[in-house]
Amino acid sequence: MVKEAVCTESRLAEIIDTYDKLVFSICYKLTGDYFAAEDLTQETFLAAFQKYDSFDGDNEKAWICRIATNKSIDYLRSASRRSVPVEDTFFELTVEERGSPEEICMEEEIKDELAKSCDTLKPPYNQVARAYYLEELSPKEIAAKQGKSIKTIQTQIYRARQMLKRIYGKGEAE
Amino acid sequence: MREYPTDEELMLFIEQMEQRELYAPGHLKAEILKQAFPEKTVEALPKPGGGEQRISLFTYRLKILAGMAAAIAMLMVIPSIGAESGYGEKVTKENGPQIKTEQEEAGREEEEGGVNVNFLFNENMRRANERLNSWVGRINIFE
Repeated sequence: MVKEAVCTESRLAEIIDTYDKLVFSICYKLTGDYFAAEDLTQETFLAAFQKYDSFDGDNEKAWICRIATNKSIDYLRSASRRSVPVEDTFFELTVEERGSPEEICMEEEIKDELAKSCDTLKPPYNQVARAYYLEELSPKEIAAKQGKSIKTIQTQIYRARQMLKRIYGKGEAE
Repeated sequence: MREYPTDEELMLFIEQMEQRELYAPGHLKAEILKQAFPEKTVEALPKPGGGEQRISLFTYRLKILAGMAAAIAMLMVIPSIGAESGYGEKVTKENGPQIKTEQEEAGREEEEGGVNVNFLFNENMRRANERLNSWVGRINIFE
């Protein structure tokens, strides 16, 4: 496979389409935090975009997953993490902690937790958060549905995200 | 202390993950592209200095210039009118005897041991006026 010298917008979009689920799942698996996983996924693809020149073109999947994994580990190591790292090796870190023996659908698990958190928000943030995170509507679609401006919706999404991050952060501390 | 995975550990981990049902939020792609290519995704702002703004700025500038010109013209014209009519001279001539009279009165009061405040005030005002008129007269010279 011939690797392009520069990562264009279309090339980046292609990479995102190919690996976004894998990268997000890795980040969520390692951190257990939806919003941390979101941020880390964005950072992963942006780092891949910036370092595309230095990539030798061999095993793109492993390269991107390496970035995602290392960023997630750095996140867990950071001082703000309340949990004291116990695991010594990477495989110990990735042992399934959420107890059920059967395969848990990641999407269901994430959305259940999100729904509970969204319901704790006051209006209009709970409605906007549900529409954005659970129904996965774009800000434009939400604005059209609620009869508000896109700027208003974007601001409400931003504020809802901050509130949800705090809720997730508190849950982790407990 | 968590270590980064080795290449073998990473490949095993990726295989494990791919056996599961993976998920990613739908809005992530748009957000990533927006951050990577911000110029193209940001809505075009209205250009500053559009037609209407240019006209209003131009008229505002004209008004300011007109006001400045009027102020400068008044500074030039009014003192020159006063100079033509000999106002300054009239003042000195007219006030001359009055000043002398006041001086005589002030002298008398001093001899008597008192101070004419009114005279002092008027004297100072007169001197200030003379200085102002001489200064304005110099401006008129440049016309």
